[in-house]
Amino acid sequence: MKAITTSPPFIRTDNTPAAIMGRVLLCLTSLLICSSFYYGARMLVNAAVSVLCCIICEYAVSRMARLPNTVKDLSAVVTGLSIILLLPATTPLWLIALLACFAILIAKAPFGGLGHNPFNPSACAVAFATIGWPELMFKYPSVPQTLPLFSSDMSGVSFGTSVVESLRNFSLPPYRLSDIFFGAVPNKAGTGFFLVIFVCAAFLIMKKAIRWRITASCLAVFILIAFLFPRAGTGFTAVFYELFSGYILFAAVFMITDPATSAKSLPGQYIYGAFCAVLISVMRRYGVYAEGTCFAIIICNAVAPAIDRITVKTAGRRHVINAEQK
Amino acid sequence: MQNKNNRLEEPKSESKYRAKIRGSMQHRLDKYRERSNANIERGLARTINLKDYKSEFLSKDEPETVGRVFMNGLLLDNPVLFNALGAVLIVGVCSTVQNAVLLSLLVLVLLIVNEFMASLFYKNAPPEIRLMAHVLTAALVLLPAGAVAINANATALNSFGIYLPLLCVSGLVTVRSEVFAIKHTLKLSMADALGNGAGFAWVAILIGAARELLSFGSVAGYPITGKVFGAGINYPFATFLMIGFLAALLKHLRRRHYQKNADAQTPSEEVQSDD
Repeated sequence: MKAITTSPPFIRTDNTPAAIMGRVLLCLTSLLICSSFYYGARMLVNAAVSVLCCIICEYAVSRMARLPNTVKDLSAVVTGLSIILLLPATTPLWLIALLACFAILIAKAPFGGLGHNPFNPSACAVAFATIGWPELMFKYPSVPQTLPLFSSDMSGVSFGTSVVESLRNFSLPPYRLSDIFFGAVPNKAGTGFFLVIFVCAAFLIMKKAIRWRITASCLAVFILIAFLFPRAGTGFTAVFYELFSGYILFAAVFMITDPATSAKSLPGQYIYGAFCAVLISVMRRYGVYAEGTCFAIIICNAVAPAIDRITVKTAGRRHVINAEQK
Repeated sequence: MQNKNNRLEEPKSESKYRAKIRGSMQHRLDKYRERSNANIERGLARTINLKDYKSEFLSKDEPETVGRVFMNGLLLDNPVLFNALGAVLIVGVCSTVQNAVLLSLLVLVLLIVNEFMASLFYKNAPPEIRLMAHVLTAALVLLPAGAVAINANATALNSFGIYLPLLCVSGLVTVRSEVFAIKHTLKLSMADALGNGAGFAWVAILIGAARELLSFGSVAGYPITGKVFGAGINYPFATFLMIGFLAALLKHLRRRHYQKNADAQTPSEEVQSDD
């Protein structure tokens, strides 16, 4: 029995998984609405297919493992939404369904479900798509455009080069800076709306829903690397192009702060964020694909427990040394 | 015997029971029963740590027959799925059914000759040189076997690459010889060689068929669907995923098989196992 000792207004802060996921879901839904302004109702169809597949797979897994229904955590919905926000809007529906099933059945369920997965399921799904269908994953429709609602026939759609590809060729992107900032350039669906992502990040940090230290150190180190090793333009212009391209900001706010896959100790979070930034920069510059952030995230997830172990050990050692000196 | 309090009670006819199961087997069953009782006290419907290893049910007390050893190698103790011995060969080589069949034949020949030599001659050798002896035997067998295979199908053998000489040192051949053939008779070693060879063969052919179907749209050269699944399905990660899920399926089936056997052996039907 908990005795409530606060005074009115009684502001409720749950810490149930569903509540935490609900806040992240709010942010992802806002990104989805923004993208449906640019691409039409096709984005909502994508979202419906992805979320439905994720929910069905999660329910099937919880039945097979005889667990209580795990769909209530809303983690399947979050995975479903973040997958489609990371794919181009012209991805065919069969591929979205396949990736949703892959994320739940292969990247999440065999490891133990929510909280036990060592790799971010949406990053795994995007990595699988990038390796398997690179010709579908790097075609970005130019905005604004109404895409066909259900069909995969994209013959009437015009495509454009994204900022990431321009950076890869060391050329200035042919778009205005304000267009890039507000997401009116060809990009993955849902990751180009940087103002919305900043607002979402502020909201999540205030509600303590994500580990902000990882985001902060990742962005700081990434900006430093983009400043020191510019690819297009110099100084802060290079930083602008590098930061507001691809899905680095989306990944820094939503994907690498996932509590199951990221570092837990406080010094470890700073180290983890910095390591993510370095790896993402390396993947972007020297990787096979123009945007290899998903592979960098998977590698960082694999390294996170090691970072935890190292930092906890040094903290313990420091305590022991202090005690001996006293 | 208190029927109301204990979920698992002592069996009714104890002497006949003890006559069947001797020694350490009885002790292990008692420990399992005690653990199950403790778990039932805690409110769990089944004992989660059901030991389904081979040694629990194919112990030294039970006679190891040729049939049992063969089924071990084929299904219950599959070298690829449960001992992780031939996975790299499947990943590197078996991208088509043709390759898989050729590899399985080579592995079978290597296993038979290696276990033959190990069970007859390497038993009395000092342990330091036993491993070298296994590798040397495999290499000496691979020379004529490889020549015969090249005559049969040169293009398939060329795609083996480095994995052809790797067969001599691969765990699939040397580990089975060292673990099994050294300690058992010739007949049982031959059964083990055939069983492990057959076990490797069915896994390799199944996964080769799956990979060929997904990446080329054909099975053993007969086109089934012309579509290619995706450029990346031939990468090693997809094959390792397939091997992993096949191992999970077989482990589930093996567990059911062992639980059925356990229920048949213990007369008490209160061993709750709802797998």
